[in-house]
Amino acid sequence: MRAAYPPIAHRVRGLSDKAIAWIFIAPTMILLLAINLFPLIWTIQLSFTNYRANRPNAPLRNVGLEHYQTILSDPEIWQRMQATAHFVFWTILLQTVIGFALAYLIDRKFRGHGFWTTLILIPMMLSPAVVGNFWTFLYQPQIGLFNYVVSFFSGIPPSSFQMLGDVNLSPWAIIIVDTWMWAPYVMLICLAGLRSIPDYIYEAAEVDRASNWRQFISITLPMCLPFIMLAVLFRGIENFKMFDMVNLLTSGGPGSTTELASITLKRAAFEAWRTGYSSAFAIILFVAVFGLANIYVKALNKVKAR
Amino acid sequence: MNLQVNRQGNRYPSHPREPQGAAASRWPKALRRGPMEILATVLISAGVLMLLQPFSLTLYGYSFVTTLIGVVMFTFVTKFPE
Repeated sequence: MRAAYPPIAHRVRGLSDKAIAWIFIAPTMILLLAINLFPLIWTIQLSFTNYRANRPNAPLRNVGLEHYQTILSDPEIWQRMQATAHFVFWTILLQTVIGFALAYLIDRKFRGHGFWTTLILIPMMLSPAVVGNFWTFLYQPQIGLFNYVVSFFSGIPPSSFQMLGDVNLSPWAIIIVDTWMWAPYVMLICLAGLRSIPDYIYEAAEVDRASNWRQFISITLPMCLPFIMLAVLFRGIENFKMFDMVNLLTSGGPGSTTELASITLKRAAFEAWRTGYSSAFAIILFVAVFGLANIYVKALNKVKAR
Repeated sequence: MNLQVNRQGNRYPSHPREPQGAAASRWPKALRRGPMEILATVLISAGVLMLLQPFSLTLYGYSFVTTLIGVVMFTFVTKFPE
């Protein structure tokens, strides 16, 4: 009977289920190891050395935990972390409030709500490079639309302030742009949460004569909370790594007011060519983001379980 | 454990499977996944907050170790039985 099978099929038939499974998984495993794991392990290894990418032939010296100690005791890096924290905190707060409010309005299903949903989602679909350039023009003190709008509502002359050139205003300038771009994303997640609430709960609340405010506090908000949490965690992780948009808008300036951790990292790696040092900094940021991602996955599983 | 080999070369125990949850019941109560996961989550959150807080350079200095312990702990405890 066995001789009737073609040779390849015969060989495959002779393999165990486990071996066949490994054959199918192996290409993906090799690709993952090459693309994800190898660079990570190499970065970890480099973080313990004095390696400089612009001097690859220079003698390599093992410096142990020196880079980690330097970064974690440097007041300037600590300030960059605070700038990152300021950016992350305010963007998340504004995006959550505006995103949830927009979702609540869109969920009312008024005439033309589909058109407004599409219109609101447009900023999210743009490339950060486009958004960066676009807002640089909007923030121009002489010709920018933003200054004229502020002037119209406040009476302050439009050329009397610079959103991107002022030490006090530039952190808020990047927060406004990020909120403009990503509040629609939070809106989408909240909208999914709002639409998942069954109507019979509201009907039961109406039978019990619960007011609109009571329904919002006791039904809408608690049932939407896992979705809001998810949006907060996801935006938190993304904004912690924010680079492109801020780099295009301010390049970390004026001075180092808007120099987020990722911009400092890029400068250390590709301007100062301190590859070992920047690898250690990258690992510190990676561990923080990986930790947040773990919490995010756990929250996501809880939402799925619901 | 006494293992037998089937025709495909896979090994399997010769005795019937243990009832479900038996392994979990033998696991120390203090090391159950739920509380350990919460502890790891608290450590990660505390570490990230310490990294980003503007009050103390000392706390900032210990932030990485705290987050790292939390992350390593989280990676292991998610494999623990409920």
